[in-house]
Amino acid sequence: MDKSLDESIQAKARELANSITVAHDLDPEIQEELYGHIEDKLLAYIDGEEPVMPEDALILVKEHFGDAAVVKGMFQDVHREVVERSLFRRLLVAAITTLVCVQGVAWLAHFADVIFDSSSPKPFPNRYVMQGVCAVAYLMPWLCFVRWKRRMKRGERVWFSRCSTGRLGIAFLGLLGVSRIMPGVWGILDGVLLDPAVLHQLLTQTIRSGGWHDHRYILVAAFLVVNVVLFSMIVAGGMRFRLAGRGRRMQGAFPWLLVACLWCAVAFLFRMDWLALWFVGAPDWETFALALGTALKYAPMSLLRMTVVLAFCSSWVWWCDSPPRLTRNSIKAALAWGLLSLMSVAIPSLRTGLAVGEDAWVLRAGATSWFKLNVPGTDVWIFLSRESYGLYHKATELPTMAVFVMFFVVIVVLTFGVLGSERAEVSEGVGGSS
Amino acid sequence: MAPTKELIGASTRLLLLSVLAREANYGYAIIRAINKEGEGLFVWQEGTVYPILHKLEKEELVRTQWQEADTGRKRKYYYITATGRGALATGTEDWAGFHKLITALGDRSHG
Repeated sequence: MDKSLDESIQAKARELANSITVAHDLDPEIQEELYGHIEDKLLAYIDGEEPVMPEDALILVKEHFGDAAVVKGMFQDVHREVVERSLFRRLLVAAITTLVCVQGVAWLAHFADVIFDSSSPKPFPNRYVMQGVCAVAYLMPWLCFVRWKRRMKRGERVWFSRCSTGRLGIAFLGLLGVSRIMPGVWGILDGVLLDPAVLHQLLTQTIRSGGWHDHRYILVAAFLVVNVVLFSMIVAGGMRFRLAGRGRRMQGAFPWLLVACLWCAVAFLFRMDWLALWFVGAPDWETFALALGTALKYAPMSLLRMTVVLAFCSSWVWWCDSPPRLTRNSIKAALAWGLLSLMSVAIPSLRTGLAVGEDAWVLRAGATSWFKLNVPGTDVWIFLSRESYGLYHKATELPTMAVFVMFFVVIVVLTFGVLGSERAEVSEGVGGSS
Repeated sequence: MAPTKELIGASTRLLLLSVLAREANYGYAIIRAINKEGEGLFVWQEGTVYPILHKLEKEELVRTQWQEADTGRKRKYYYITATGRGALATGTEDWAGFHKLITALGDRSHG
């Protein structure tokens, strides 16, 4: 029997089979087996007793094949160990790439900062410039992931394919160690820094200034949490409404852009403490106007910061799985991202710094000890900072970061879950009935 | 009345082993054989049969081999193992026992 499908139908059949991505090592064989099934089924329809057109046959085959997300989930259940190993490797690659990119950009920024320090004006007095540097540092891994995914799709081997999991692990630990030992960029890019300034400020105020007994700060905190929860529910509800077909379906990059903008508005809500102050009884109009002014002044900065962090977390989730995405994989990837972010704060650094120029700079930086290098034309200093210099207080920073990171994990998982159109629960049973 | 999803899910392993006990075959042909025997009793999501076949392979109830099918294309053939035949015998016995119990209880309740 020598029947064959035309090329366009073959391509669509391949696409359906290739949508079942289980684990990198298993995919070729599983996809070939599923393609065989789809091909046989298509030919049976096209050359059956009541022949149908190839396009119609493809629709029927898809209908009988079932939900790709369910099939994928079942395969991942069966090959759990391989899937977990594959995901772990991907997470290690993501962590290594992130550390290299962030540390690389941080170092470049640091050098520029150090070199320009002796002259005036400095290139980085502008907070927006520094946020731009952060954005570049955090989005570089995504560009790497896009490139590697394309190459893997073409069947090419990427650098980490040749590395064992053990080697990847050692590379990751080494890079993490280096990031904690090498002179850092105090207050600019300390490791994988997610600037938690807003929440940090809030919690610091709550915990330190008035203490928990100060009802005003507790109310402010509660108000902000309610704001965020309400806003999240509105956005999630809106997206579900759209995806349920009750509105116009969103296409291409538009939904992502929309979601990013909507979630970024949360940043503005964080800055709405002026409104909360109003509710708890602002002392006077001047205080109120000052709080409002501060909120408006820093809102664009918060928006930019949160967009970058959202994109940063999303890049990990995007890298670790392919559509149809399973929520459990997205959760694992987002949590791993959160863990790395927290590790950069939790693991103490040596507080070493690098400076170029006169002695005064080192003293101004709060150095307790230093080592001077004799470089022609200038002075290069490697110094050890005071414990408090350039660092947040760990006691408030870690819980703040934990809240901040978890908040973003939830946002990203929810967004991927809703937009990924995961339709069915994954179960052992075979779906469908007559 | 159509069998429930749970009933189909619970019986799939036995259905697959039963077909393979008669003749080694590849996924599409196995599904076609069951559909033919079932005479429209149920329609399943065919893609979900493959993970179950993989699970049977992992449990060493079946083994596999890529070979050329009648169509001239390479297909992954599934062969039932001795362990698989044992599991089929036990499973069939269990189903028969349940069937007997349900029939007996049903007869009593009807009259």
